[in-house]
Amino acid sequence: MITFLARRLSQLVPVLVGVSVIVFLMIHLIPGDPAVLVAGIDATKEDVAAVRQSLGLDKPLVMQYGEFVGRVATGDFGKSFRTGRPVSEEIGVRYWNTMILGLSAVVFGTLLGVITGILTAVYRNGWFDSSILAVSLLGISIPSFFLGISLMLLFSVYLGWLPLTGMDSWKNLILPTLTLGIPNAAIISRITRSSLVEVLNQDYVRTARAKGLKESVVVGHHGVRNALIPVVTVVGLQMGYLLGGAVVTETVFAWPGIGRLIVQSIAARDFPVVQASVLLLALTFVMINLLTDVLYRILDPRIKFK
Amino acid sequence: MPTSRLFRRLGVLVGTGLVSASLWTAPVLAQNIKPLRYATGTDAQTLDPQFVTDIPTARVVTQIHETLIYPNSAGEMVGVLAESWDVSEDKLSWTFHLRKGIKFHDGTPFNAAAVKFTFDRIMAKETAAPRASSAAAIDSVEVKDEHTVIIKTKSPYAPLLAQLSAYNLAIISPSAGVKLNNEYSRAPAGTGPFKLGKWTPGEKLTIIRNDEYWGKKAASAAVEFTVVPEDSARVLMLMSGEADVVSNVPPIMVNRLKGAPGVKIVEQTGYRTIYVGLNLDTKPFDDLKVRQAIAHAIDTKLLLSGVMNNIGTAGGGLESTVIPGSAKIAPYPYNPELSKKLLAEAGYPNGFTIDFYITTGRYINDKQLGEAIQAQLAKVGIKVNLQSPEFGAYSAMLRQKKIPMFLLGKGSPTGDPDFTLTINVHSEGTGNYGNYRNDKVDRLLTEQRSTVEVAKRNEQLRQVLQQSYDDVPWIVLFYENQIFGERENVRGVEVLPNENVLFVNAKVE
Repeated sequence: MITFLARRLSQLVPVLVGVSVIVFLMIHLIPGDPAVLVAGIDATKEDVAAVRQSLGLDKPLVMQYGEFVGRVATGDFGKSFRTGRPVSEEIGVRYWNTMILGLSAVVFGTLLGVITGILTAVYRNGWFDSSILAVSLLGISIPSFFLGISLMLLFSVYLGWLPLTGMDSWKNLILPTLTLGIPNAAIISRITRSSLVEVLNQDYVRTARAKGLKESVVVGHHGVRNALIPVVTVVGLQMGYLLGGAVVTETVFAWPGIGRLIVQSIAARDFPVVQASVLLLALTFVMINLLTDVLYRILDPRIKFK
Repeated sequence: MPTSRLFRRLGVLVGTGLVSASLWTAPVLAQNIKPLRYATGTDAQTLDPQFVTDIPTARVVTQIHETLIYPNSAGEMVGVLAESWDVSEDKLSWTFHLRKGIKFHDGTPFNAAAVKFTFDRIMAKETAAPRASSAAAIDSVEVKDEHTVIIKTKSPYAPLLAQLSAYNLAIISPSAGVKLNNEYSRAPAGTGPFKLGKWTPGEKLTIIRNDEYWGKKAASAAVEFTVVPEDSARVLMLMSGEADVVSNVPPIMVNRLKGAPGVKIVEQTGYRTIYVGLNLDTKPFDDLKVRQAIAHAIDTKLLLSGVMNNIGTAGGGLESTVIPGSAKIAPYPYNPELSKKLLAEAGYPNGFTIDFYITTGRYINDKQLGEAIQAQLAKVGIKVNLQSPEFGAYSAMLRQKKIPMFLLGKGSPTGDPDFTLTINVHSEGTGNYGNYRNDKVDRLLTEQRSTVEVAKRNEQLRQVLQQSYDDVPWIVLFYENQIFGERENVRGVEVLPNENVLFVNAKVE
């Protein structure tokens, strides 16, 4: 187990170096001059030149990358072009804000998805199954923008139960969690159902039933545990997606997260912020994958760490 | 008074006392103060006036800082930190008599040295201020005595007073400026009616009343700027009462809000011109007749009523008519027959195909405007391909001056035509994206700068606007109006034509 973790963690280094090079090149190669976007679109040539120099953008690309790597090695991600604040300060809080929202949505989505998935598998082809199927289809297809605004209208404007935007209290977390979590739950519910249905048709399940075990034990012990592996895979992927892809939800609910920060920073060509946030997200994504692999092992002892 | 109610009152009093005592040391808002809640689409980028390049940031910075001079509601320049001023015979040196007894938020006295410090800082190369050019006309700043400062210009410079009202030239505390240098944003110290309370970037910023303010003190104890990027979410906040004031209400929601209970719409004319630019260095726009044909083929009246829900002001000149010194010029009348005739005369009886670049989401309904213009030009046989690169790429292409036809907006940070006309109309201007060149216009632009007599200068400016209108390097669509939403019990929010918002007299009743 320990050698497995050590090996996997050492693989992180080439991944992060690769990501940093690709991101660095990509943002430098797309058209758009950060100095112009800082100084304003019709700023004079002198003002733009002064800004470019102060941002260090007048140096050759190779030198800029060298300086970037040198700074990152000492834990310094530089300063934001837009605000002049240290990048760590820009990213820090927002990363955790996104983690809070992402985790909350994943926990909610997984619980709801697994529970409805199990129920629809057990009572498959009945009215419950088909109504959950209909709701899931709706949940997967509905755009998060529309879902978010609808939830706001209902719960905040008409009923007045929940606050609309910001993050002043735990109540602020409910609507964005629902917005992100509902489509998530719909996907997980479908995966859980199909995986469990397959497992419940296996011979060993018939054997378990033949032994005279209670149906709850058959489903709970023999069925669900074996059906969860594909679910864990999907939850892991969803988690990664929610961290970087919650932009729309973050925007609608004015949730100050890292997704929106990255989009704004790309629009403003705020290179230091883009580089650092993408690196951080890549690191998180790899860690989630690692966690997923460890979970496989716990769920299925036949899987060995090699 | 019944005893139970008395006890309850006492309880509240003790409670409030405890709360304020516990917050005594923290520079945050005491919990018993209910701030005026303002929801805005974008957060401030900086609180250092010399680094401001966008309106949402300026709206925060100007609550905390003040300039020497600022326009009143009629657009006339009146003294703020400067009490009076006079200009020398040779029109090269301006003496400003400063208001006495004013202190910056950090306790530093406001005086001539502070003015000199501020201007020297923005002009210094090391500062690398993105708007250093806003002080380019200034040659030197001299301290005559504690409360008198002399500003010398390189040549006679008529727009100096308007220029001094620019937010980039707001006066900052020298001690804060020296101590914090490029970290000034963390603890800005101006002379304004509000000082910074707490700022959580990307989320919320609170300004609190400056109780030592020299003028009429702010009506609210605090104003809270909340960042809510989504337009419809801001509107919902207004409807549910979660916000007292919201910025930039989309036109499509105006009718809905007009009928909503407890809510009112505030509309103010503005300095921003929305226009279609044509590149005179690309075919077929090198031909005046083609440009005139385009002007007559675009139905600006219909764009205003159909696309903009009548939120905007009609006009033909590049500078908004509410800017002092601007001239009223009628828009080109819609006349597709004349347009077709002009196209035929220019050798394009069957029209032509052109790439039209538009912004998306930068100006109100910009995408819809682009699509409407596409449909209108199709009627005279011009086939328009809409291109909408994201703004970073768009701005780079514009500055290369190679885009044949583009939709753009231009504001006016100083409220004086000199600043923007020099950028957008002069042949060497960085914002002259369509390569417009007219020697007469260039000459008039240089002359008006040194014409200190107002009437004479306004005539020169009028000629610039008229000539550039006749040459059709652009077609003005309208001047953008600003739409704010307020709760019915909100009083005193001042939305200015230069797009700034003043909260000093604002309160919830």
